Amino acid sequence: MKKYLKIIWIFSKVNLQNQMAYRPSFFLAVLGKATRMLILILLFRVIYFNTPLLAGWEYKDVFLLAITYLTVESTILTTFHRNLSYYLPDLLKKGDFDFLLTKPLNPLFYSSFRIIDLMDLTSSSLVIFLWYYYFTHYASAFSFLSFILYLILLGFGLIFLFSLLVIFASSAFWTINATGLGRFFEDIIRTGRFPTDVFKGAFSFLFLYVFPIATIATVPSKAFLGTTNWPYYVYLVVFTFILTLISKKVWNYALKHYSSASS
Amino acid sequence: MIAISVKNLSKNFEYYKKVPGLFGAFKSLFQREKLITEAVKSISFSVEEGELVGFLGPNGAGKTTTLKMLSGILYPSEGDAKVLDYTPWQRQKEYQKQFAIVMGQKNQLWWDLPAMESFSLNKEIYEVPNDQFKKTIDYFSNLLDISDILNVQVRKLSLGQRMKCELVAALLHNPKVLFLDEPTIGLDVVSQQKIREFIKKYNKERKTTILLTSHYMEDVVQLCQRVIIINKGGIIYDGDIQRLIDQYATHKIVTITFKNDIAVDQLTLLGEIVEFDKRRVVLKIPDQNVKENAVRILTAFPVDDILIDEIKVEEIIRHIFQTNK
Repeated sequence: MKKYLKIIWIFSKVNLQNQMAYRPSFFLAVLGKATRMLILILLFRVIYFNTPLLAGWEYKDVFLLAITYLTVESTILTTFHRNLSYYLPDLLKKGDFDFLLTKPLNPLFYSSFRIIDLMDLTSSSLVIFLWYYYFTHYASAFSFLSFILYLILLGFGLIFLFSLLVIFASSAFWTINATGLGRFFEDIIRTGRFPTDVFKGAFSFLFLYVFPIATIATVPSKAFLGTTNWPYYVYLVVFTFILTLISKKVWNYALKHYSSASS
Repeated sequence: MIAISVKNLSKNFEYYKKVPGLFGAFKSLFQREKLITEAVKSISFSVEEGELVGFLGPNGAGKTTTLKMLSGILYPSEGDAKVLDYTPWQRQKEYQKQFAIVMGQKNQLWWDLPAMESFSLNKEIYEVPNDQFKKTIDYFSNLLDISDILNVQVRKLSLGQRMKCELVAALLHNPKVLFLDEPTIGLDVVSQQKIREFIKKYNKERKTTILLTSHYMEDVVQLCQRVIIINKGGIIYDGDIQRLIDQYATHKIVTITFKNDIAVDQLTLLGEIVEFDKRRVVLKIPDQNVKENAVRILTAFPVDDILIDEIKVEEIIRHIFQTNK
């Protein structure tokens, strides 16, 4: 564990050095990310100028949902998302994945965290500001247990996203070019920006049970606000566990079929 | 003690036939023809601990594929291999800590950062203790003369300097087995020689088992006593390089410079004419006739100079590849 933490630290340090070597690009990227976050908040603000409630959600609650989503998005963008969606197919295409398989280090760990994007972490400081704003302007009394439950559910959401992306990324061992899948994954998680309660019927079932993107922001936010759904949490634990096992199997199968690139 | 043991190892690659043109690309979305290439065909060999073996073959012969199977990058289609008693493609951490692979055509150092950063990463990956890491860096810095480039960005280094750093990155954990895939490719003659000297010295001092592939015969002739020649996926020679030379070098190359112009038909009886230019001829003469023919040439022609050479190892290898096509 200590070894892996040390390696994450080296990855972070090295990539920050790399990015700061190209300063204009660094500052522009930070500005772009900050703008994208503010646009999401503004979008909800505009919607709530016209209606006091959206599928039973008040503006202050949707604000919590938005910053929950942004927290999850920042976490995965900083860590595994681009590594698995974009950088892994690139390594496979060039045959540089060879080296990852020869090192005494878990290749999934190496592939997922090889580039820790601290630039995203810099822009994520805005998320901290939004959390501060939420607590000082909107948060009513909440229990410590609700907060713990919120964090646990966030954790499950992250495991769900990681497992899903590992399955998607494994396909790159055969298709090599997997940018389409990376974009598909982004589209899926972006649906999590909205309260899934706005979806009815088949879509509601889809986003709760089949492709539970509700776990990204809606379910944790509701727990934070005091609305719990224990049977669903049990389902979520079982679902995440099975998905994690499947992703592990798929990844190992893909590693076995790695054909490298010609030298 | 045997360090590498390979038994009937084969590797097939499956791929799909690409039909050219837009229509072909569209058609291949629905219907594709699967093709199979036999990259390595049931090869067997073993390498003793501390041995430095040359693995020779033309492009596409199966050299790199074999090295990739032995380093656990690829699963074989059939057969078995053991390196230090481990099955490489099981990718056990204990095995990975005891071998290294260097590929001359690939770069494992961080491009935009000094090589020292990549060394630090490998130190953590291989769990090399601090004092051993410092000692090893000092050892390689002196041996390869790289102390002044350790903190220079990799992309600013010359190819030769980069290869030296690649070798250091691979050897930091003091591996027992080293796979070198074309380590001198693209280097100038001076850099090639430095890398060769380093490999020779390292093998001698550390008793590391080394399997070396190269296109450059000089690498193999200078470094290896034993060669394995592979062509079209199969081994066609495995043994002492001198025995190979003795077996195939049945002729000598005789180069004669004349004082006056000579007609080509006067020379045809003396040997096979390789090159001819009125005052200069290169003949290929069977070993047993060299002495007698040299005397005949010196007495019958106005000779200015005569040179008798062994056939070059490159020629022998080229001949072997051509006869095994």
